[in-house]
Amino acid sequence: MKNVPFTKLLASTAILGATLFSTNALAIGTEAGTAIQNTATVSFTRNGSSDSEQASVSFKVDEIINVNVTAANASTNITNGDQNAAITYTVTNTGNGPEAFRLFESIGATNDLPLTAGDLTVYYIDTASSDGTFDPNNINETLYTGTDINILRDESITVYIVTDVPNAATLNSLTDLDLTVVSQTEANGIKAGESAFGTVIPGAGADSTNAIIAVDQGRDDATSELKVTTFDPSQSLEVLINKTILGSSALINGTATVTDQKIPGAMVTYFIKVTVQNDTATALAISDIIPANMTYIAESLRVQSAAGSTINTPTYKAPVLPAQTPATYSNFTALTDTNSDADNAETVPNTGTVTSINVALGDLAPGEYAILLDATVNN
Amino acid sequence: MIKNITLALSLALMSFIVSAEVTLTNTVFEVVTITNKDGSQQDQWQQPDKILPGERVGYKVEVSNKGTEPAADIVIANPIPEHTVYVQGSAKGLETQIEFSVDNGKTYALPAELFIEKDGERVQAEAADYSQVRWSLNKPLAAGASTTVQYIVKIK
Repeated sequence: MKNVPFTKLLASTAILGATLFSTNALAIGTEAGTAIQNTATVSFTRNGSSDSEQASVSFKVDEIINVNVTAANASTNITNGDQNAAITYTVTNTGNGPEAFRLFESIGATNDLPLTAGDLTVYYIDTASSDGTFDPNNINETLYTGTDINILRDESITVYIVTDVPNAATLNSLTDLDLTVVSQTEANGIKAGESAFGTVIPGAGADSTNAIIAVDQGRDDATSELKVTTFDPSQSLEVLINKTILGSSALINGTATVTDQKIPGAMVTYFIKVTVQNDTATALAISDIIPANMTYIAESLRVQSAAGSTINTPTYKAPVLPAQTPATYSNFTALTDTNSDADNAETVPNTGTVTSINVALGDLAPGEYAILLDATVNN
Repeated sequence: MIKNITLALSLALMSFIVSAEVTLTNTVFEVVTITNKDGSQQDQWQQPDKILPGERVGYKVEVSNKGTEPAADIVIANPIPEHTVYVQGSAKGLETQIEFSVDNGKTYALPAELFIEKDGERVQAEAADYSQVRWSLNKPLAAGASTTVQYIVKIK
């Protein structure tokens, strides 16, 4: 059978369509490779004596490659911020021989949560020990790493596509996840996973029988959705801002002195901390209006913006007086007052009396970010 | 001693020659339904190409009398192969009586006279219950003549 001319294969494929369709009720039948043995016996008499003869013929049942994928539920309820949310699928080898399959997970057309391919992981488990619910602590649930999975005929495995749900996912938003399972049978350059319904792969079946593809492209898939049915507001993006005075200094009797007294001419250091929680804050900018009767100290903006840091309130450091030189704080980087430059810090207006400052920090992952600025109490 | 061996040998040779005078051939086909241009359908017996569960397989059993004497009381018996079921009405043979068994060949009868026990009741046997098919030729097979019988099974 291995050298069957191509034209003959085509002809037999055309006929197969009709016969396979008529036999779908017997999707799983006699195991591929089973020998069907037939022995006929003839008995007769001649010249009064009886005798008999036997003749046998045998063939092997060929392999059907077929697979069925179903999702346990049309929709799986989730809450924003859920860890290890999972859609459960059942994969059944509906052919008549053992078959190697590979699993492919993908995100469907609807993706409101949203998710990216890198957010998905796949686990699988043989059905005998599965209750259909993903449990990250169940050691029988195996992380799928792209290798072949062998499934015996009429046997099923349970597959989970697992993801963490973004904190910012909104109520009723949903994302479709698809599981595609592809036969890995291949011989003489014919791949089950790339061949049409009815294709014969000579010699590629169990026990060197022919393999016949009974599901187009040797694959099946199922799509199901994750849907946010409960919204947890504490999981969504929160941005907190806190402004405090670190300390102040003034010239008292000509001597630079740290003092809480906000006397005219006193130089005050402000500490503004922004806390981003649960999700990325996009295009975040800190603006501060210089209070009435105070004057912004030029070039006193400093920033600490390492992603995901925790920032404790720094200990006050006195500036240099009367030069009004801002103090240097560790982990803080000086910004320039110049507008439209790379540090994205600016004063408003850029020249003359500054009424406010603005520091654009861009997209910020959860964490703490802070700026420092100095101003003097007007005389 | 030597004489005895010779005798045994010649007897064995004789029986071989005699039995070879009636031969049996058993050939398997793949039975497919083809649709004609006018939309009608018919079965076609083909060389087995690929055989799958649910598909039909046909057997043709040919008896040839290659001896010089007619052979009488010819009976061809064929157990339905394991993993298959008999397809109703498929057994054919010219000038034969076709009977079936539901007790693995102990007794044979026409379909209408075959019964099995099912859930404690005696019910008419169905094709799937048949364990054997048997053709009894109505007349002797003349020297040099041959005849063919056939039937179809479905792979479970």
